[in-house]
Amino acid sequence: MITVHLPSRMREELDLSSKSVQVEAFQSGSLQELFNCLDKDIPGALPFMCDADGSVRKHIKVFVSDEQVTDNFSNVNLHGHENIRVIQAMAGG
Amino acid sequence: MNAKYARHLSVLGEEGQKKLSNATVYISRVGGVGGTAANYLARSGVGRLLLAHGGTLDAEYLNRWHLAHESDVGRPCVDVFKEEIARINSSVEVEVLGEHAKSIDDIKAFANEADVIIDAAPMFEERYNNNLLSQMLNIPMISGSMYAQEGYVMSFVPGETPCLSCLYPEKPEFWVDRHVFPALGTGPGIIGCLLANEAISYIAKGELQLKGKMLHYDLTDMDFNKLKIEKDHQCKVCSA
Repeated sequence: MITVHLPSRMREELDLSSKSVQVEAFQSGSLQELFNCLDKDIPGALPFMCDADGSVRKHIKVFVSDEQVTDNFSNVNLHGHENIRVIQAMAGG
Repeated sequence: MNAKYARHLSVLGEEGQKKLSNATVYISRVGGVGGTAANYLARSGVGRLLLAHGGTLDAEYLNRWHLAHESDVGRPCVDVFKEEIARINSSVEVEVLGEHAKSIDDIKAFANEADVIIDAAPMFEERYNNNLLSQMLNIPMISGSMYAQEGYVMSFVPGETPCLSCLYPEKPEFWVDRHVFPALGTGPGIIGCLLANEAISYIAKGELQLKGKMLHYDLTDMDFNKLKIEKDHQCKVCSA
């Protein structure tokens, strides 16, 4: 099962108690399909990451199994066992 | 070897310690992250610290600033840093710029002799200026930041690795001032230690363990991961 690790700010904005979620409705497919499923489980997750036109916000990066995603989410295929990390730009000190 | 650094011998060697004593490190903001880095760099015997930080000391800094004490509230920050670092290690030369890294011309003049940049500012505008400085002067930049229980450290080498703008070309809209981020003292402390360790490794041994990598952590569940970051070949800063 795929685990998605969510950034702290998203957890605050969407009032989530857990740092990571398992998306049970997703078995395999593209990263975009995973995030569509995630948005059904957590309404607001997709708009947090993407603009209205669907492009990834420039202060958000997604990593699949420790590798940065540079391609369109629709072109990234997942097998169902990956760790997904959504990491937002931070500047706190 | 000086008794202060006796325990460094098998880690850095005499040659590494000598390189440290001849090195100059520029630190942009010297708060929870940058102040922790400054503390450990001073204790390690670094030769010179160039510290850019404006303003006076607020009480809310005390939960995470290693170089500050209750009696320092209201004092100019740079005065506090100079005094505290002199108490830690009087061999370290400290120069201060009593302003944040808001002007690229000012930091270029101030930090042009640095061997390494430590980017620890709580405002993205300053971080982007430090990134530009790194690229302009061809100086490696070690960048660390946090939000709540989460944080990351990365090392950027001009011409070799992605730069900060490759990864995050724009800041989040909500990040309008330094008050936006929650923090316990532990998170900035961890980041500051990692920054100092990376700087010491680079100066003494020429090695950056986080070159082209992001060490990301979330203390909520003690989750630490080293992630590979990629260059943006359209980056307006390093690919222009």
